[in-house]
Amino acid sequence: MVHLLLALPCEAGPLIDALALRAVSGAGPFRQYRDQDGGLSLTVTGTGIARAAAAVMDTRHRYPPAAGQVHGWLNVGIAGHARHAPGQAFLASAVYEPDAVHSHFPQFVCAPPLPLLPLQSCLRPCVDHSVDDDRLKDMEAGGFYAMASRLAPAECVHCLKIVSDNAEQGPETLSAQRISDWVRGQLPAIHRCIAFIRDCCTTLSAPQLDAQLQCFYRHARFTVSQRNQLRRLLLRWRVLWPDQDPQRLLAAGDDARGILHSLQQSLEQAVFLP
Amino acid sequence: MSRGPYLIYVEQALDEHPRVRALLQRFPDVPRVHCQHYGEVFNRRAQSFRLQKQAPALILARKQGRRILPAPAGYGIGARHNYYFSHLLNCPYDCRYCFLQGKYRSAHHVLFVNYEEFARDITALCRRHAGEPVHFFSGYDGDSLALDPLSGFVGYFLALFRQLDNGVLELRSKSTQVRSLLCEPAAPGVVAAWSFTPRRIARALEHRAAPVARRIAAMEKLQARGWSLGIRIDPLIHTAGYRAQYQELFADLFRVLRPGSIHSVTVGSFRLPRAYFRALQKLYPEEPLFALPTSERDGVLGFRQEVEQEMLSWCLAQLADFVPADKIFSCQPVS
Repeated sequence: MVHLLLALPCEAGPLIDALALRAVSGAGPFRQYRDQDGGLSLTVTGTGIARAAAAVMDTRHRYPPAAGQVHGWLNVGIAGHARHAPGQAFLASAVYEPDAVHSHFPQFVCAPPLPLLPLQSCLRPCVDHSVDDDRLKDMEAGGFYAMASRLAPAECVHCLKIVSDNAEQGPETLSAQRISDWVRGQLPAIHRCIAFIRDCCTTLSAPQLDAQLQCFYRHARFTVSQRNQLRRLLLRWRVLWPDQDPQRLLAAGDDARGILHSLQQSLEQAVFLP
Repeated sequence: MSRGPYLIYVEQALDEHPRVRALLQRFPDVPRVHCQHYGEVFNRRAQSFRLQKQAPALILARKQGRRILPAPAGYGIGARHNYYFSHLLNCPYDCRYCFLQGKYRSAHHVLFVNYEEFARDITALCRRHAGEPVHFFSGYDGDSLALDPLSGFVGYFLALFRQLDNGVLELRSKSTQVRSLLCEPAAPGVVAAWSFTPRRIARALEHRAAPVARRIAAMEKLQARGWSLGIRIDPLIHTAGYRAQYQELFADLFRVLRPGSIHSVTVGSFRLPRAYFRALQKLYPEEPLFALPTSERDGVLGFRQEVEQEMLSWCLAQLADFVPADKIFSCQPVS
């Protein structure tokens, strides 16, 4: 699952429409949306790093990943830059928190689908863009990244920023309509980012053994530690003998210890066959 | 990296370093990102080695602190003083058994460009052990030759080791990048060594590395130019019918390589520290090598001891048919 976090309703609107997201009912501190098949969520965080960080945690609690699964995170929003024209989109090559001490480096596993720029998160709107400064300026990414990077690897956490103002066109020129138009104009790029984050999550998510485990649990009573051991053994089994069903080892009357012993004994015979 | 990196990180202080400038000029269109220290990007918490391995970035950095370290026990090829140094962290190949996958959370290539400081430290160690041979291993944290067209490592360090009376440099590789060696007359203080597993095992486990036959062909070219060569049968991978596979490998090697060209042959079992092994299992849950039965000794996981010892003894005996015994070294004690 990929989680999109945006600060403003006018940023979120075009994405909600384009991705056919539906509002999630139920009281919560943030407005949330999701798609029908459960592959995407969108949270409107409000402005500021504290709200962005809180929204990440709220989203995480609403959609906890299953064991072994990895969720992706994408912060989309507007940012100021000294020179670049409004409407241009960038991915963050680095995210600097307002304290200027903590920094994050999102990781890429292919040529980035958009040009890169470093991104500085600020506590207040930046109205004075120095032309010597190559950083994008926003108010959420620092909080977003600090939290999301604790929940997923840096390859699965990214910030996509659309330039909204620069040294010549200050923030006073902004309007909700213009922001929506810029986001709408970058929908193909946003789709590409969602796709590469999703690919990363798929690669990292561990194979699921739920159905097989349930069969064993029905057969005997496993303690928590035995369940972990069983999972490890079944994973090995599946790698070594994908065509053989380990349930053939289940014999009537076997307890958990006996089953684990049988699996272990069989696996001890395995030899590498390149 | 064969097509060049898609992203280059540069330590801010190195912007004007001549080696960095030359490298960046070669890749004018590759996005570059500044950092204060390579540790901000490399090996941070919550990175995926597996994902980064798909397309590693290049990180240009300065190696600070201890640049030359004592080699681990069992790493020697005949000298009493053994050290290793790493101008490069990680390599472009993707060998499934490689311990670097467990050692690092990042698969990016870190190139330390301060060769002059490495050279100063190497020279000082050679002076400290004056009169005795000192061996320096360069392929511990990465392949010595694979990125040579990018790093210019060989050219710089060959010149250094030609000046050192008692220093010996081991270049260890699985690549075919020998152009910079072929351009130069053979250096007595340099051993060019290649690692091997039998062809079928290499195909299954040594992704992106040069095929065994091409590695042997690269060695043959160097042999013709008089270079000292090393053969590294490490790690030994146990398979059903491993004897036939290793016999074939040894026959292929010694059909081409003359005993007089061989500086040393080392043999080492497949072994990984427990934490690295577990990390690799998590990284590659579908890899059969990590699903096999293992045994643990002193915190190190490998094949069962009886399997390991049988294989080690057998391989050493086979190699003794081709190479004088004083050139064969085992990385583990043989019982």
